[in-house]
Parts: sequence; C-alpha cells; structure tokens
Amino acid sequence: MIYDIIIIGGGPAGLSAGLYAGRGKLKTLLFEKESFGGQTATTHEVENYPGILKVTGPDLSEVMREQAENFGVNISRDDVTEVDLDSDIKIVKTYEGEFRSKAVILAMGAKPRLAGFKNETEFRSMGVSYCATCDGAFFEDLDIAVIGGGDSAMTEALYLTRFAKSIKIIHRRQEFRAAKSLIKKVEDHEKIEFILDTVVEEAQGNGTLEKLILKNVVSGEKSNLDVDGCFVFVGLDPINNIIQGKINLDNSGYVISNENMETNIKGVFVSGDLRSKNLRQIITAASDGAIASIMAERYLENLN
Amino acid sequence: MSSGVSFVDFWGNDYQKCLRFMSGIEELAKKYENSGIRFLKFNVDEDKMFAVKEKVMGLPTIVIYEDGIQRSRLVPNDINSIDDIEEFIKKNI
Repeated sequence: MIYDIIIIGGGPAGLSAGLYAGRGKLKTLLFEKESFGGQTATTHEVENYPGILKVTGPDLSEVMREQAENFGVNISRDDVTEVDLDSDIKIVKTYEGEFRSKAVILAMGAKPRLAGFKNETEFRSMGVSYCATCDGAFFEDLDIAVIGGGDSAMTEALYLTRFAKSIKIIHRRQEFRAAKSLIKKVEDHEKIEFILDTVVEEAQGNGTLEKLILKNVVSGEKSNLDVDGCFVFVGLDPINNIIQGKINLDNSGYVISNENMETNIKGVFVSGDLRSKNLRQIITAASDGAIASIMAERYLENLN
Repeated sequence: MSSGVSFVDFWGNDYQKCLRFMSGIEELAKKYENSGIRFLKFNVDEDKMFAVKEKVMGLPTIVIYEDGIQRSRLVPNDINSIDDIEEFIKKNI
C-alpha cells in the first residue's frame, strides 16, 4: 500500500497536518513513538492558545490526537529509524517494517538542550531532569536547582514550588530573557532564590544526584550546592537524526523551508519546531501543520 | 522484595512510555519466570512517597533489588525498546 502522506511526529504540527490531511480524505499515516502532543504533553498549563482560556498540555494534546483520528488518520506508535526521500515514492523505515508514501511531512520537533556540565547524562533521571511536569512530583520536600533564564525556566520553577522545599535558579548572566511579569512572580516567591552569573560545572552523587559544582563566571570562584534534583531549561535542539545529510538544514540543524513548508526535496514538507524559524509555539506549530498538509495535497494533485 | 532478587517496574497512570512497555514487560516476566527473579510492578500514583524514598526520579524506572537493597536500575532515557529491558534482565540474572 502506498499512502498519500506519511507524517513523522505527533505533536501539534503533526496532528494538525493529520487533521487537515484526514479531512481532505487523503490516505494518511502518522508516526508518534512517545507522547502525543510532544512538548505540549509535558507543559503543565497552556494559556496562549486562542479560543481556550486555560488547558493542561496533556488535555490539549489528547483532544488534538482524537480530532486527527476522527478524520481517519492512521496512527502508529512505531519508531521511525530511517527515511529515503529522494524518489517520487518516499520510504519510511521503522522497527516493524517499511512504509511508502507520495509525500512526507517532517514534524519530529525539538527536544530540550543539555546544559553541558560534567556527568549531566549519567545523572539523567537520577536527579537531573528536563521535564517538570513529568518528574516534579518525585521531588516532594527536597531541595532542587533550576538552570536557565528564559520563560520556560521561570514557569517551570514556579510549577516546581508545589513540590520542592527550596529552589535555586542558576543563570549564567545577571539579566533574564524571561517576561518581566514572570520574573516578578519568581522573585516574590518565598521558596525561590537566584544564583546569578553562575554556571554548573559538574554533578556529583552516589547513585543519585547529591551535589552541583558551581562556578561564578565573573569571579571564577567555585562553590558546592547540595541538591537532590536539577531541572534544566536552557533551550531546544532539533530532532533531526533521521534526516541529517539528506535535506537542507540551517546552522543550528533546523530544516530550511519556504512559507509553503516546502523543503529542498520534492514532496517533502516540514512543520513545527523542527522548521527553521523565529517563533516556536503551539499555535505556530499547528499553523505550519495546516499549511504543510494543504501544500502536500496540491503537490499530490499535480502528480496525478 | 525482602529476600532474593526482585525486578520492580515503577510506573504511573499518566506516563505513556510506561503504558507502552507494560504488556512487553508482562511477556518478559512470563519468559523469565523460572530465572529466579521475582517480577513486580509499582504504581507510583498509589504511594508517591515510596517512589520518592526509593529515589525514583522519572518514569518508567526499573529497579533490581537484591535482598531488599537496590542493585541496579534502568531509567527512562535507557529504555527505547523492549529489547533494552530484556538486556537489562539478562545482565541481572
């Protein structure tokens, strides 16, 4: 069987593309190996999606999945391992088999960036975390650190106050990128303190995280911080492992496209956080997905 | 899990990755039922503080206990397919 469209990724971009493709009666297959909603599923509260005053990330994700599935999109939980995009018929390989389609929409998204300190990977899920909604509850009445100075770091630090005994926000500069209103809320919170002009050099512990080694970037002075947990929010990296060397990427590894979501390969479209662009939000992902789907539909019409 | 070797799958209702591997883990439990390892699962939603006490810091986490003491563990980042879990069991037999 040859599908009209294969969508790789089930976040807002992929699910929105699926919704439009399904509604257009295109034979569509969507792959999502982890959580529907992608990063949305790990966001505790969404209040900037028009038409919805406030919703949890998992709830919004679940409705998006249901909506796409209601329009007839086939959904697979398989993991895509390889793609062959150059021919007119695209091949998508997974652990379970090989799937073919006339068009592909890449919507794998982005993942949290590592902070880059020593032993960071070794302590992942052993105290070092990148998702407050996933792991926050395990830090009940414990001392934790949050690394970062943007909106995510501030929002997630505030969320973590529900559980943690104390929170130290570690930021490499004096100034924050986060919205002023958020910074004010954080500054006013009795559980939160800032450690500025400081980076984490190393994580230490016996099995699980016990201590961070900090370095003040101005004075060069080093210090120890005893913590049970460390949440990292220092930006995103594209999930581009299956397309590296096969498609045009920008210097940061995001897929280059025009405003029609077309990439340099015929029949291959991109949408959402994986795309080279300036604003990565749920609404821009959903918008990209809709455009990619409609443009893929036009591409298919021209093929026939 | 007071004596002998136990395999404990810490899981939660809202974690899709836990649910995705649950039936696979049940199959592995059958396959290795005569290996001497006791297979158990623990829903953290029923007693979160037990998970906190056991230093479970992400889900799914699989812990091997020997005579009640933690010997090794598999954390979410280590688990990409059911094969990773089977490898972990083999290493701990």
